[in-house]
Amino acid sequence: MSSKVISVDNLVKRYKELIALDHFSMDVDEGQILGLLGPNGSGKSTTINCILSILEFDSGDIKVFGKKMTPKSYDLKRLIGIVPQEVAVYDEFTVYENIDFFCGLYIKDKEERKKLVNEAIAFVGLQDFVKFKPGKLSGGLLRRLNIACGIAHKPKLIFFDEPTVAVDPQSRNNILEGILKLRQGGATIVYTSHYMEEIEQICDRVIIMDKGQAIASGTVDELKGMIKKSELIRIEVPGLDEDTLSKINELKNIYTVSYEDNILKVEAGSGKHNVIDIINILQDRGLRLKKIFSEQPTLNDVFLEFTGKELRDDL
Amino acid sequence: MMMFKYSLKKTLSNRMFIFWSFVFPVTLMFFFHLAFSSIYADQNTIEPRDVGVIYEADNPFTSFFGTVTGRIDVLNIVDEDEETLYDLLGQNEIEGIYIVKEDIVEVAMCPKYSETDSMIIKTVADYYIREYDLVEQALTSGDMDTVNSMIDNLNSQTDYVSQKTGIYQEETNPYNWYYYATIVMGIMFQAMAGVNLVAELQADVGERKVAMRTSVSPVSKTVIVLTGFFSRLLVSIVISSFSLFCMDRFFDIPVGKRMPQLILFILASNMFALSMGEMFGLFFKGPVHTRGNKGTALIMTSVFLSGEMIATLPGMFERYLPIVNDINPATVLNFALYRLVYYEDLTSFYIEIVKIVLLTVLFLTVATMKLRRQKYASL
Ligand SMILES: Nc1ncnc2c1ncn2[C@@H]1O[C@H](COP(=O)(O)OP(=O)(O)OP(=O)(O)O)[C@@H](O)[C@H]1O
Ligand SMILES: [Mg+2]
Repeated sequence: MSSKVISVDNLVKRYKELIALDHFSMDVDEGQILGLLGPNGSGKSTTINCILSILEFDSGDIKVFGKKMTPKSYDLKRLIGIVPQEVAVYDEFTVYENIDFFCGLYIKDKEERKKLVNEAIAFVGLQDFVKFKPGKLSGGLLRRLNIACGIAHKPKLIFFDEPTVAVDPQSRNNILEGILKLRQGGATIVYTSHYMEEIEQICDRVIIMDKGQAIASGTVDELKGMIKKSELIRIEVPGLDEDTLSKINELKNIYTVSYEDNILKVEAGSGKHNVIDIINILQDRGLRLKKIFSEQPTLNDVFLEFTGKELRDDL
Repeated sequence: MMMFKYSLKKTLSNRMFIFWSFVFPVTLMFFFHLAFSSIYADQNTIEPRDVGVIYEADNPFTSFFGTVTGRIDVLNIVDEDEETLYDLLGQNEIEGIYIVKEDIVEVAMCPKYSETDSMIIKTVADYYIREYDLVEQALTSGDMDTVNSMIDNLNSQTDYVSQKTGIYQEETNPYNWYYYATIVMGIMFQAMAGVNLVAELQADVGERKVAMRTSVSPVSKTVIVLTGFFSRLLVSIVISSFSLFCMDRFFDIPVGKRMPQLILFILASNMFALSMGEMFGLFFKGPVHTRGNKGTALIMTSVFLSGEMIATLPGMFERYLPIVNDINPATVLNFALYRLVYYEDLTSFYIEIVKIVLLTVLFLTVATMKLRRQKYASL
């Protein structure tokens, strides 16, 4: 018995001519936050909908908690929570009623439900708005309600489909912290986004998707290690001599070194110690360092290298 | 239970639904009542006609005429001398004068007499002449019962006369028909609840993204459908019962005294409307509101053809194209309700109800089959 919470094998989903998922496979381990990163239309939501058996797919195999998932897998569904991409709440119910209703689909006991609903409200910080109808909530608050509705019943597996779209940075951070807390509480999480920063911030593993395919997967560092594009280091340091330059060049993980107008430019492979290694050499020689810049490669660079295009052409 | 409660709340807070199925019909009835009830009362309850009597002879025939006319509800005998009576008649102050001769009664009408006036006044005279033999026998034998029954008969006959001479010529009474049509319209609009019911199961149907949440939940579709169906049915039954109550109580249009059949009607018609709504929701394309709008268009057509605006429309179909009445649900419901209230014999009421029930069963079967096949929430 493996600890795989989700295993998707060779999933194919077609919309008429369009192939939304093209032999897509993925695994999620227990307690993990898996990020699905991909541009609009890459198939993130489609993947989730197939896993949840809301959407019929053409071929492939989906197991959740080791069991085959079907529309009638009520025992599995009981363990799952979902925060859909589009806010899905009843306009005619208040914040409290919405959470209570959706939690009630899972939890029959009134007392227990009351406790869970209040916990969820506190979790997303909507205490001051329990009597509000969704129409009166701001975009960010609405997103929080959307989250509360999905997690109140304390699911073991939670899907977040772009929960931070159109949310200000502060609320966004709250949401991300919340997700980390849920993981601490033992939940396994699938998180989709086209914001690479978010994915880098919270995900243990990332699958980069494009056109319905998984083009790369691994931890953030592993992914960055897969590409040639290196860390770019610039240090303003007057009076550098040839000897020092070649010394730097000899460091492992270093590709190119140049020095011009008092600025040392180094391209290094990905790694965490590059800057420190260089600074050590310079300081050994008693040189005065003025400014230091280091540009780390991003998941965007990873995406660029694998697909030849930017992850996001807007923004 | 929790789901039932919320489902009720959902239905009750759906403003469009409440508007179309309750507020709109009751408001229509209210305005119709304001505008037409007095005119209608004119046409149907008979205001006593002012008449004078001039005796040109003095025998039992003439003398007893006064006794009879004095007791007829629809006549108000004006006691003046001959000259004054003719003056009043010329000025249209009284509607007519009976000139009672030896063995005949002549009638003089005012210049502006109406058909109804003349019908009523003449009927009394005709009847008196025809039945005088009986009166005479009764008088000689002292049998007042015969006389009384004759007068009763005359009273009810004039009633009948007035019904037939009203502006409405069809079999049905179009004034009341309008109210029944409006009630039926409200019931037909319960279909909107049916549209929403199936939308709740389809994650891809526009605004109702919540369907996604219910379909990933461990609650089975059957439970969702049944909860949705019965909570909505409960709401619509309450609404239509209350509308009928308003009609009976505030607008004076009777719902009749046959409670079991009335309940049967309310149940059957509301189940029909809900299942018809499910059809709209399942077979029309587009987002929920589009499906609802298409349904509304169909309902309005059906309701229009049933005579909601032109009360004589069903009568016309009856004569030239009866099939329209037979298959138009709104007309079928109208007939059922109308016959339930007015007909002695309930056979035709039951026939209409059977039609409705059969159609409902058909709709529900198709809906169940279709919903069963949609294993996945979005297509
Ligand atoms: N109901 C549908 N009918 C036809 N094509 C669809 C449908 N739903 C999605 N698609 C297509 O499938 C592809 C994958 O869509 P999906 O929603 O999974 O993308 P996504 O990665 O979630 O994108 P986004 O970031 O915009 O949410 C897209 O090309 C989309 O146009
Ligand atoms: Mg998406």
